[in-house]
Amino acid sequence: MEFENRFDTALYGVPESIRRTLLFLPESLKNKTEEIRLRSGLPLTLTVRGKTFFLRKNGEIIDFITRDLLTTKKDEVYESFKLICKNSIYAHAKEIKSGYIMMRSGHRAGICGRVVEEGMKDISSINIRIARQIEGAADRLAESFDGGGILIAGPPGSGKTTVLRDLIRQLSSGKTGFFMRIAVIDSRGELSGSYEGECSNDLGPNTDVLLCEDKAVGSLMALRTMYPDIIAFDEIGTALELKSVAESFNAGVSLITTAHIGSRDDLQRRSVTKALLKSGAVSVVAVLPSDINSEMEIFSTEEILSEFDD
Amino acid sequence: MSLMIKVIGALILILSSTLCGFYAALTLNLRERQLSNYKWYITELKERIFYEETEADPLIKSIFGDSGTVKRIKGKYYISDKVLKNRDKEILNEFFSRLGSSEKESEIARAELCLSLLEAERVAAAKQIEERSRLYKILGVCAGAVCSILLI
Repeated sequence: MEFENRFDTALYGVPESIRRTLLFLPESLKNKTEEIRLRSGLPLTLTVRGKTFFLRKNGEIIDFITRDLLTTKKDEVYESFKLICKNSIYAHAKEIKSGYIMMRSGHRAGICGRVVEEGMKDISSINIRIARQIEGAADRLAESFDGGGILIAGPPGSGKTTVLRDLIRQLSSGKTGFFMRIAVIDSRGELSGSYEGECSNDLGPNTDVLLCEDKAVGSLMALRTMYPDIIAFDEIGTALELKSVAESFNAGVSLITTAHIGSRDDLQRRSVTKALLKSGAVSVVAVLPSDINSEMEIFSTEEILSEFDD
Repeated sequence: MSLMIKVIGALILILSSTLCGFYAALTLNLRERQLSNYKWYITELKERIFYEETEADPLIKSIFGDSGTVKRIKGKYYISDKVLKNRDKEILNEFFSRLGSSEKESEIARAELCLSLLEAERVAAAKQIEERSRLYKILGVCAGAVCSILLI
């Protein structure tokens, strides 16, 4: 699906009263909008290329606060919640407990409220994150692929998932000369844009998607049943995931993953990334800057390890 | 000739009155049967919510099909059934209008409440059949006979 239509495909999760205003936004703005945020009793905000904008009641977009901003009522937040769940809150209980709900076309709605045992009540804000696939985002990284593992690191919102998605697509599509068999462990359906068994994102013709919350378990499952050349998943963070990586590496399977870091120094400070780099499971590290208009930096693991204190 | 017309007229009167009586008795039976059907539908719904966590739209469609019994208005479901009384529709609409608006345990609890209320109505309906069904049929025949005697 063209990115230009992606904004409109997310609007089914917005109440009718607000949807009418958002539908008439300029196409150029819709193409750049990353998030729609609804907060109970507060102005609706749009995140456009990392910057926050408000909407006036007349539909005008501004980047400052005035008295006539379009505000979301408490009922509208709850209505949005029900629309996103397709009037079936009970069917999304597991996702709600994790604080998000996957939407059609790969969009993801983050929810805030009061966490209770059964899930979440008194929903106070919803963040509809618009899924986008940018072809070419991983061009430089795909050229650096040497058959070893790749770690894509950067701060939140720097585009790690976008780069990972495009890298998977390129490697699966034979852009590096071989059609790599890739097993994607997609814990939230965000990489593949999976919804009811259909993937709305293009991950290439030689990719298998395993929707599994536990990435460690999913990796081992894929390793044993799908015989991949590469295992890919988003956000490595636990010791168990590291262990599964080690097992895959020992089986000759490469890994591509992402990690949250604030700066390059965090690669050493974070125990998971430090252990990952020292294990030899990755040979290339891509560091994404917080400013999405800046280029990513690509290093070999040796270069990064040479900066470590120990 | 005129006697024959009178006899035919009387027969038509008795027949139509009898049919009315039988129809009234049938309505009682239909209501009881429909209440049993709804009990089955809601039990099925409850189990599929519990085990499959299927979303409300496909769930309603697979259980009720295109019968038009369950209508969706402004995101909520409502029952439209001529056989049922207002009280029956109240119980069902209370359940269906809130379907999908809470987590699994609450949905199951509301389904069980609805089932118990429906069962109470079904038992009352069955008792009505016992008390009144035969009465309506006999009344139908007798009313027809009396009318034909009086008029003819």
